[in-house]
Amino acid sequence: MKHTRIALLAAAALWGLPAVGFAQEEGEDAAAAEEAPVEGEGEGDVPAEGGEGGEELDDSEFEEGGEGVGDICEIDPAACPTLDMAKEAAKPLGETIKAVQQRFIIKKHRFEIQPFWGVTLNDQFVQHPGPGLAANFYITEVMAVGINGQYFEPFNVESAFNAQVRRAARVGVPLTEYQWSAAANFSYMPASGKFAGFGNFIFHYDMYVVGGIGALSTRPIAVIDPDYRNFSYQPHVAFNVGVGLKIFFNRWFAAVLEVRDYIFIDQLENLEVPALPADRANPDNWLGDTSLTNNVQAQLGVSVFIPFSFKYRLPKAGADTAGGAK
Amino acid sequence: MSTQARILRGQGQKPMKTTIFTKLKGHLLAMLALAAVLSVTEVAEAQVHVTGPLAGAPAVKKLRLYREGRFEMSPNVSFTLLDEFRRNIFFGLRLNYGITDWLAVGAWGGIGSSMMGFPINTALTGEIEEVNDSRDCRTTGGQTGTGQGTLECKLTEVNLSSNFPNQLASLDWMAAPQLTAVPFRGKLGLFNSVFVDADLYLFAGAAFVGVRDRADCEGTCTDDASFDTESRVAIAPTFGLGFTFFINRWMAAGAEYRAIPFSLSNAGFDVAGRGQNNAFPDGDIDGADRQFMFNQMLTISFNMYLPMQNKVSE
Repeated sequence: MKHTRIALLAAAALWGLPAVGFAQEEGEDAAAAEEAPVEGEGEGDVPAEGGEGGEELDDSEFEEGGEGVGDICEIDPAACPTLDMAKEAAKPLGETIKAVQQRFIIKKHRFEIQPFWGVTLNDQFVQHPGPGLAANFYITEVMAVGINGQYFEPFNVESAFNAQVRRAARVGVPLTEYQWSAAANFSYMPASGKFAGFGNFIFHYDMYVVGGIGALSTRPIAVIDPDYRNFSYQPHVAFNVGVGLKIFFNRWFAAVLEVRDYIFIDQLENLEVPALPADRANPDNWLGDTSLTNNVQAQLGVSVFIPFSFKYRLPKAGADTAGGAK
Repeated sequence: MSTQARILRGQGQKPMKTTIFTKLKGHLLAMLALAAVLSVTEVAEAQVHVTGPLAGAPAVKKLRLYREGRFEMSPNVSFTLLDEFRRNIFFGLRLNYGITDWLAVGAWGGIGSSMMGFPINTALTGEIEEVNDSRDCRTTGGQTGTGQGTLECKLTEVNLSSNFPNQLASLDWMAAPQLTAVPFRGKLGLFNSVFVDADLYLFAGAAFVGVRDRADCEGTCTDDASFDTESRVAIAPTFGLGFTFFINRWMAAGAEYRAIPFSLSNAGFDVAGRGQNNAFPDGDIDGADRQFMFNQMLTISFNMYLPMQNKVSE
């Protein structure tokens, strides 16, 4: 009997547990469905994105005793919005409806940690892949300041194409390998939106532009006179500009794809080889021209927002107002 | 023995009842476990359903069906990426018919800048040409090159003609029947003030590519004539993805990425054919010297949809 009761309790617990999970998911689905119906609704002048998160008010927020505007009315009656219900009821049903009642994610005053892997897009001779880490702090919802760094040294790969050109055309092309980079950046997010996937689920994304200044440590690879030349790494001032796309999986985790151009003046190997061994061994004769170099990278990574959760300024009836981890 | 069994026995019940109950208890536990599993399944199924006033409603209501039953005409310009010796710009047209809003059948085609008479060479080509000119290896216009017989000229005689850019490969034209799937539909807001409908699509098909690269030669690959290029048609898969931003009901702007992987002899160099894995030059120009390239390009397009009115879903 005792075991039966335990079994019954366990079964009840098992029964109840998924029901709780279901209730949470249902809320999510309901929230998604609330947003979804306005997709494509009406004419092109229907705004799709709300202003500040939670600005939109609904009826429940005017109810007495609720957590919504009713509280504001108690605290400051002057700030309490008044509505003529007859007028409101007479409004046409085609009234403008904001597609996003609340921003999916609030970024203001949150930190973002962004590990990524970068691959070179524009250097056929030497690839400069490498891991990197970026950290941002959001000053506003759309502006952030941050730093990023990348480590290249063990990952530089001289391509087969380089050897083929050298062998076939007997033309030496000066090569450069990278050691590390670091930069301070400013980001701005001019575009955001949401997509419905397969008409079934909705995900949010934003696009951003980023720019900054920092340093990139490089050195020439000795290809013209490798018997004598051995270069050490030197940092160069590097500017960077880029664009990125961030796809949010939840309110604190996103995938990031970014294309960034690191622009710097590179010091190349001297293409001339002195006749005398003493001159060849002299490091003053090793370096040649400088070259304005664009290192264009694709950076694929993830983004973690800290703290994980946040509170909307105003609640949205029937939806979860805490942007917690889910 | 369980407490339940002891109580039953104390009330004069036959011990057999205990045995039956014990058996029943096993079944009961199994049923409870099954019920628990079933409830999990039910919940999993129920997660895709919305209850309340939105129950049974589609995920998206009154969706503008920009593609279903409409023709898409998209004049476009494509720029090749990561070019080693020659860049190509394609001026093309894409035609699609939307069978549904998420599936379209059509074709993309274009003519390359090289075929139109303005080849665009990379800086590397310029460097090689400069060095090649300074070597003066070949006889041109009846004049013997001053560098003839030097080591550099001997080592490059299979690979460099008197006019290096003329031996480079070019992509002259492309035609690609393809299927387009549109799994993602949504909105894009710019500066929180301009909002447009957008979609993200994937496409795949077969590409017929008019390629011009150095002709095969055997034993005579140092002759000037052996550096001439010839046309052929390469058949390759093509695939990619793109964004469409709808300006109004019948106009849109688009950007897409396309890959057309196939092999070609980019510079007409003898790079393979001998030794381990054929990784060393053999003095001949043949299929072994054509190297696999991913052949990527970015396209920007202006799209028009006919008829000009789109359908709207329920």
